[in-house]
Amino acid sequence: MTRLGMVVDLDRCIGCWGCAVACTMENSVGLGLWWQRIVTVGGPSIDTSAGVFPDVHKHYEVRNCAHCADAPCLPACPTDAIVQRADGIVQIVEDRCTGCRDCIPACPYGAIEMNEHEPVLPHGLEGGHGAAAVRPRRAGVVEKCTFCVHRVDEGLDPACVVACPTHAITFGDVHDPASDVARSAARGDAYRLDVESGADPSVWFLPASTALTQRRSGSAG
Amino acid sequence: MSEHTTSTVCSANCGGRSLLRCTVRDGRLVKVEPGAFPDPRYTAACVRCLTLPQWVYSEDRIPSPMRRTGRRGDGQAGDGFEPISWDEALDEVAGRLRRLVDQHGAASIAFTRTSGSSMLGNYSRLAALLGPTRNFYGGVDMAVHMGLNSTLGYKGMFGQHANEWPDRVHSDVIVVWGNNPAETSMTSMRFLLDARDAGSQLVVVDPRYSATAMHANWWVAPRPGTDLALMLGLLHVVIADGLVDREFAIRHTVAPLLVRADDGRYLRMRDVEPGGSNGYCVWDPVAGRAAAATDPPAPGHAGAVEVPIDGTFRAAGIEVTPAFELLRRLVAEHPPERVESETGVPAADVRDLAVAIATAGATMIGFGYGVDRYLHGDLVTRAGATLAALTGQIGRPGAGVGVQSHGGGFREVMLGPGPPLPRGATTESVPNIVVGQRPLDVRALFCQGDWLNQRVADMNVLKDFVAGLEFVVTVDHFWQTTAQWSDIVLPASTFLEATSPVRDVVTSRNSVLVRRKVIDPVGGSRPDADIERDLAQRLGLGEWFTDSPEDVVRSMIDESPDPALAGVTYDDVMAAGGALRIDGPEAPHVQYADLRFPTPTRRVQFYLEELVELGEALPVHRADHEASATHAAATRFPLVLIQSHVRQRAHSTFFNTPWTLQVWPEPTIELNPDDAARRGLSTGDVARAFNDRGRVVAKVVTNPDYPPGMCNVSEGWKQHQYLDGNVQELTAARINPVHELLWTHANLPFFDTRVEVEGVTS
Repeated sequence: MTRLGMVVDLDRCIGCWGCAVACTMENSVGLGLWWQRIVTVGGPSIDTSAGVFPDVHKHYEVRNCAHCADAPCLPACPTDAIVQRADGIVQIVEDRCTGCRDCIPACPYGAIEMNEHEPVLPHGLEGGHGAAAVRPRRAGVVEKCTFCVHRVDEGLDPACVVACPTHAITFGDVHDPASDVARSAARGDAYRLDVESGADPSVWFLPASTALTQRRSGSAG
Repeated sequence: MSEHTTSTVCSANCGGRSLLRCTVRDGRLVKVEPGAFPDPRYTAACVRCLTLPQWVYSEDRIPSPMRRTGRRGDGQAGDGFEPISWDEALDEVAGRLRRLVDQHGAASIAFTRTSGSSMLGNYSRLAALLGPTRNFYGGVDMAVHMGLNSTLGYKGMFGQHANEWPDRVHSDVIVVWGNNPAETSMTSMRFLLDARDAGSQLVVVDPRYSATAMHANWWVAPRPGTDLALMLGLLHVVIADGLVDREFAIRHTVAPLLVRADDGRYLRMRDVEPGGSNGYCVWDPVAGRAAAATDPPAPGHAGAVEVPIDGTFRAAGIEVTPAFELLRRLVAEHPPERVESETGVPAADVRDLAVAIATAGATMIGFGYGVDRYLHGDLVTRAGATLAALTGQIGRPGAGVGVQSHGGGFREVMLGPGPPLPRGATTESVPNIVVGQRPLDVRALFCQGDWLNQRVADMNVLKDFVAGLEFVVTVDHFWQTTAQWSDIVLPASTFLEATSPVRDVVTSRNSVLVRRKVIDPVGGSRPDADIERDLAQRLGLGEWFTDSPEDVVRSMIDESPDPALAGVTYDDVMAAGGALRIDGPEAPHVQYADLRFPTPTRRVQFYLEELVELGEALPVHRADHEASATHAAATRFPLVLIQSHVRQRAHSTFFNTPWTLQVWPEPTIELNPDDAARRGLSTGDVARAFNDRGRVVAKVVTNPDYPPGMCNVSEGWKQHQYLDGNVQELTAARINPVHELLWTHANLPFFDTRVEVEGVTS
């Protein structure tokens, strides 16, 4: 049976936010919300390292809904507004969402966003942008990454995968052993976030191993 | 609802030229995706192009022609301006220009341009016909090319030196020097990662831990502005340790050419033989006299005896020395221990890097514009080209040296010249003059884009200059700094908007790419071609503007003199979706593969006799630049201030796109945590970076990616985005006379800037 999943090669992620902006554009995500975001693993501010020059470290991690096989957001929803397809895609049914927010803390990945107000869309594009099939959500409902289900159903990769300029994101059926995504997910060093939650997420990461092993020649003096 | 897709080519000045698939719904651009490039290796887009739907409909768009009512430079974003009609605006601009020409000559008007608005080619015909002052302030990104051009012989600016990006996978060692494609050329970064993942050793030389350095196998961090010292140290090791490819050096570089001790000129045959030729000389060790260096260079061995590149000889009574020997003596003064003290790079690592570069099967040295932003950027690339040539690392798959910007390294494709101009009119650049440093009778400015914010150093001096002008007109898309300093502002359509089916044509990535109309002009804007034509008509020059943009593009393709475009027509390109690959090999382009170097000596020319008087015939060490630790300003202004280029903007283009402003909302002063702590500063505090020229006020971010003694305010923010001041107030308009001699053009050293930083209590 198909299980759609994503592998992000952090050894190729440059922290450009191209994936996140493509996602926002494709899905008419309002200003202030992100279905996908890039976390700097390093210092406390965006794009900064931890450590002391030149022994510094940073890398980037891409975060979006992990479309968990045992998604904790589903049972958290009192109105059955979160559903899962047979291929693993977890979707929010806007009509059934009451905006109670119970799903938000249930998600181990912080992937669910609340529309506190009507979506703020760019000047001149207030009617929405991106895919015609995806309309802006209304105030008072939650929203999140859909793995670009409207594209997947047309045989296309999600917008983030297409946009990534370094080809760091692979998408497909992790149950198909011939797929690139299955091969990457099966790599010995592939890992997932918060597996102890039992959510069985469908997003894998390949570590930013070059940054950890690289040679440095410099002096703080 | 109607919806269609059109492809066009990005015009932002990152050089990337991504093909963009644009979705237009009910006449509005609603989505941008990577378009299918004719060469699929180049199918890509970056975060900047993805924000185009926000950019094109930005609230900052200038809604109609405007006339200033307030004081020049006061206010922000259109305060103190009133809307006027296009006819009124064009009549006034043409009338003012005509009066200036009549009363003071065309040179009293300066045409300036930036890459941030309009197409770079626009208004060049009008300028050619009027004959105003052009290029009057100096350039950027040019010093590194001057260094490479003078050494390797390429004749164009921003030229072809590096091998094509997909060639990186053939390199055993890739040295990325002062270049940060992970944040500036994101769609090219992939090729470095592909090469690294296939086993190349990726070395990044950068004083700060950039997103490119983060992905390197080896990060080498010289102190800012000490790249030249490091390069001379590498040359030292290569020569001292016998790692020179002598065969290559003798055949293809000036290493064996004899230089006169008395005047520093190359010895010519006429110097040693009555009636001799103007040819260069080598030493014939068998005959014990100077002999003609053959052209093209002959094999390195004269019989069984090698042409010497070491030692000193007397030829016809003149003491002469091979150029290599002069270089050897120069770099002998730069042992790794000295280099360590100057750069902070450990001596053992300098040795290791030199050995890696010299002994790898193929080494690519790819420069960026980081090294360009210092007074002596040309010397760094001259020394770098010398290093590549003396180790034979050039002209082969995986081996080469050059600026590896987005835009270079491909097979060059010549387009046709377009419509003719009258005899004597030229669109070529002319020597520059720098404001305040040369006599200058400029009374008016015709600006394309935000020249004042982006293309000048020492901005306070320039503001005074602009404030005193008789007339300033700016063509731009958005309310930016220069528009605010103008008398008339003309709103230009972006590259996505047109009144004709196509706007222009470019060649890049071995392809011909037509920029097609995507949407109608937004608001009250007009395409540049229309504005230029309408102004020309009012100036009595309308006869030179009868071709539509489509006619021009058609002629440029159909009348291309390039064999790679033989038989290719405009209609063919349009039928192919506006993008067509040229007829050429599939393998990535290798620059200088024929080992022909079109310098005067027909060799890699690391000795430039024309620079003898300026003391830079060899790439000598210079430490008189402001960033140098020994500069007089270093005690009062201990921090070197760079202006990093960032992911979300190409220079300042896309300064106003909310999607990326959410991520990176405002200018910051980044500095090392120890430097911040010494000044009582923490992340989030407001601070002022200042020197004797000016100041900028912004929030502090402490970041150990920067070494102590260095700080950063990223390039391209606009006046209204700073808390106060502007980073360009801090930079110096220092001219290097070598640059004027090599290229009749100054290069602005934007990173060669020292500041102090102090907290600001509100």
